[in-house]
Amino acid sequence: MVLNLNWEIIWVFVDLLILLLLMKKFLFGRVTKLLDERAKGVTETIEQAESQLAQAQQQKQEYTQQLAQARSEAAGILDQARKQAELAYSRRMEEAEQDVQRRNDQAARQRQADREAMLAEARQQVAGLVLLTTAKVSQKTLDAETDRAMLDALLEEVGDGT
Amino acid sequence: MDEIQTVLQEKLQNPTVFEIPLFGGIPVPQSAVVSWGIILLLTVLAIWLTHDLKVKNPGRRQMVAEMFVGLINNFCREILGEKHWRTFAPYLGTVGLYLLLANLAGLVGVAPPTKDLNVTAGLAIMSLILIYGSQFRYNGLVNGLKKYARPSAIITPLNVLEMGIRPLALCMRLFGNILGAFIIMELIKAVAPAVIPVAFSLYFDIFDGVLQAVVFVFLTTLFLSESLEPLE
Repeated sequence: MVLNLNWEIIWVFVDLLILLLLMKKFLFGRVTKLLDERAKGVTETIEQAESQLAQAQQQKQEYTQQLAQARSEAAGILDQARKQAELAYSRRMEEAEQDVQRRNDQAARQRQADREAMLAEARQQVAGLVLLTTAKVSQKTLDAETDRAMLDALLEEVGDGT
Repeated sequence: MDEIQTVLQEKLQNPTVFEIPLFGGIPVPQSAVVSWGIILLLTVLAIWLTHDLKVKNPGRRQMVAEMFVGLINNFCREILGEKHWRTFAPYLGTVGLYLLLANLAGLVGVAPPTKDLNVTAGLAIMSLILIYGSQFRYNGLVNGLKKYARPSAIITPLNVLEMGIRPLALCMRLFGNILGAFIIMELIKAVAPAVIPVAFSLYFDIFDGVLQAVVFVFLTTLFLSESLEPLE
């Protein structure tokens, strides 16, 4: 009876099928479902992290671009300002130079005019003196109207001079 | 000596424990009663291990359940492939758990159900149905038949013979190992009742029992993967 193989073998099928159903319900079904959920969660987390990383890199690139743009803009503005300042400076300098030139010219003209006036006066006096001297030397009467007037003026000036 | 023989003879019997008073009495063999105990123990254990599953921060109990199910799942995925492992992992895991406890029953002084030829034969027949059933279920009738002529037509008789050889080998290997270990342990217990059986029990009950459970499940899975393999 050690090798007993008989219809009681049915018990094995019944017992094993019952055990299979119980294990499926309470162990394998539950835990496999949980493991699947966890695997799904891990995959999702990784995907999320990857997409966020890509987004962050894109943003970084954008910011770098924007920064470079801003820098170049700032440099442009600065450059323009410097150019304007230089332009204004040189214009001012030119104006000032012109002003000085004009004043110098004016002064030179004034001096010239003064000199000419002085020379004219001196010439007149010399002419008067020459006339007087000539008249005295020639002893001539003073009848001519012009001569008289000339003489008068001369005298007056001499009188003033003394 | 005669005394030992009588004791041993008695222990080797597969007595009917009681009869269910239906249809003129259905006898319940010892192996079935022990199997019920195993079913009860496994069910309570499974419910206790998995009654509070969490995706995040699993407790220690959950880790044990996850480890075992993960082991079976990965084993089946590796051998059966991504397409089929979900179908067969629960059955193979169940057989593994049942055999593990059945083979280790000797440790607590209970006669292992696997020393009853009915049990190992029943398990082998279920493996047979599983293996050849899925050969036709997943390949179709024509391709399932064609698989007998693979890898070469000359092999066909051997492949047909294998239908009997495989379950017979599964059945007898398990039965012989457990029965042998059982007999040896009973003899040792009869000769030296104290301390010494513990040392031998490490090998004959634990190592051999676990090994045979693993071998049975492993071979069934291997044959199954051969049957599932599609024709090229």
